[in-house]
Amino acid sequence: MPVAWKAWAFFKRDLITDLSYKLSFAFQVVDILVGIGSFYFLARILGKAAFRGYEPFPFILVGMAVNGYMSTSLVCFAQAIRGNQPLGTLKMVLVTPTSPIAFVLFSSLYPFVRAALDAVFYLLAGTMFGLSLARVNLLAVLLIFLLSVAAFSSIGILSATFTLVFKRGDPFLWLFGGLSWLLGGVFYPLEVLPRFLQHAGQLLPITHALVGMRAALLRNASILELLPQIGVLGLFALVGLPLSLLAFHLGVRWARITGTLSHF
Amino acid sequence: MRDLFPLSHSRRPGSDAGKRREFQRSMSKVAIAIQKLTKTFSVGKILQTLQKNPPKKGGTEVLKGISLEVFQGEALGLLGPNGAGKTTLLEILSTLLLPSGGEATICGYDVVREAGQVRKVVSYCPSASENFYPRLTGMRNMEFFALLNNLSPREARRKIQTVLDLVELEGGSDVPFQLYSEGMKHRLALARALLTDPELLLLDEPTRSLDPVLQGEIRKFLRERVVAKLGKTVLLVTHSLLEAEQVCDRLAILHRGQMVRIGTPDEIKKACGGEDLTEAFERAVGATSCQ
Repeated sequence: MPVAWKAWAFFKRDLITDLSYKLSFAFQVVDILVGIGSFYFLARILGKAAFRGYEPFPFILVGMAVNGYMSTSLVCFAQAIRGNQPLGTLKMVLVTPTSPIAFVLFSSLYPFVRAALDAVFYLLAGTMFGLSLARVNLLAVLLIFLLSVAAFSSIGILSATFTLVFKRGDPFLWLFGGLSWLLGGVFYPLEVLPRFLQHAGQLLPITHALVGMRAALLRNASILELLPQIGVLGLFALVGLPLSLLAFHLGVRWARITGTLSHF
Repeated sequence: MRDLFPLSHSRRPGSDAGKRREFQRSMSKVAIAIQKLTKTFSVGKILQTLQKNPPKKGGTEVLKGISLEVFQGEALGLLGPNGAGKTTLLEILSTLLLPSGGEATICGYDVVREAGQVRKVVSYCPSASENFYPRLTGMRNMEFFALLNNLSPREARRKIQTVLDLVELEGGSDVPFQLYSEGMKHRLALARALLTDPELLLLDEPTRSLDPVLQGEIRKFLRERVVAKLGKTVLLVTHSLLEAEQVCDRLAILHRGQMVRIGTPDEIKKACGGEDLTEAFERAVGATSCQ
């Protein structure tokens, strides 16, 4: 039970902090609506053929939603470290009987819930611009969402480790965040890229998350149909999560040896 | 529970009360045992490999094989000039830092091998009065740290009320921490340190940057409530010799990573000479050596 209470403590802490910035909520809603509106009008001038059989607007909208929660997964772990270091609260958490891994994982709970709600808001707001959600396989959507969050999180935890040890200049965020925009197929299908870049795009988890999520959300694809994407995302998570948690554990040990836990 | 000792010199060794405490100490258990503890801050191997010309020497030796025993129910003052290694020692005992060599146990638990157990019996109160979430109220901050200390929400609420009453902060608990005065922040930090009813309190300059009246109140609180009434073991880092004398049973003087003197204030004055503790302290850490 203490584990559940601890998870709740982190979630509540972040929820209360977030709610205390009332204006930021309103601005975020406006920001999403403006973004969706821009892409709606952009999509109107694009042809249908280049989007793997999808309408351009739903294609881009799902891309934005997935990219949104991928960004959260990449940054929230490092932010947990960076946000607590200047406050001095990182040290105060680590002197309690709460493991550093629990700290970093529980600190991601609220950002993930927010990111999921943002993604849902993207889609619901999209219906105002003509997006149809009549052919959704909800189970497949949830499965792809959970697996992709797990896969992205392994990179996010590596990013947090880097932040703990080297403080700034995180290559994981740059590598995966930047390349996902270029090679992941967020705004355009991979087919428009040169062949070698298409192959490089296959190494990114977002590529598979996007293919799976679009199929599950827009054309009611079955779990069986999505097995290749489920398999790749599962593999990313299965290999990446234990490795990143091990790296984080070693990073904390490193900071305890060098006395740099609170350095930033 | 222990007897309440008035804040006077009657409890010092040499007096009857002092002799009684001396006897009690010799009969009591060891709360902190430190053996030849060392800590060296070096440029780590990761960074060394990235550097063109890695340093040949091993870095800065902050603790140079110190040994110390603190007894249960005792308040020990850790004194020393800036950079002596006081905070480093506290951070090792609170498991935030890993030592480079030697051993340290708290209530029988090794600070490296049994860090999880150590965290259950120790509370650390760092020198900065921040260390809380600024937009959360004092109560919400306390709830957060209570749950992280394995308390259930119901137990947490009960204990929070008790410790807030103890530090006389119950009125301000619904105010965001960022609106707290310096005094309230210090009280809240002390309340958090007492939340889990720890065996041992590690306090790093708990009265720093407070006005003299509040300093006096906190010292009295530490001496009369925390040590005398609640029977806690306290390791207190301070730059105030007055505070050390008022709160602590014994003092340990750390200088350049070495323990140069341990004893009661009277013993230190006797060993180092000088009119008062200030002079004795100056002699202990200065060119003039103690006997």
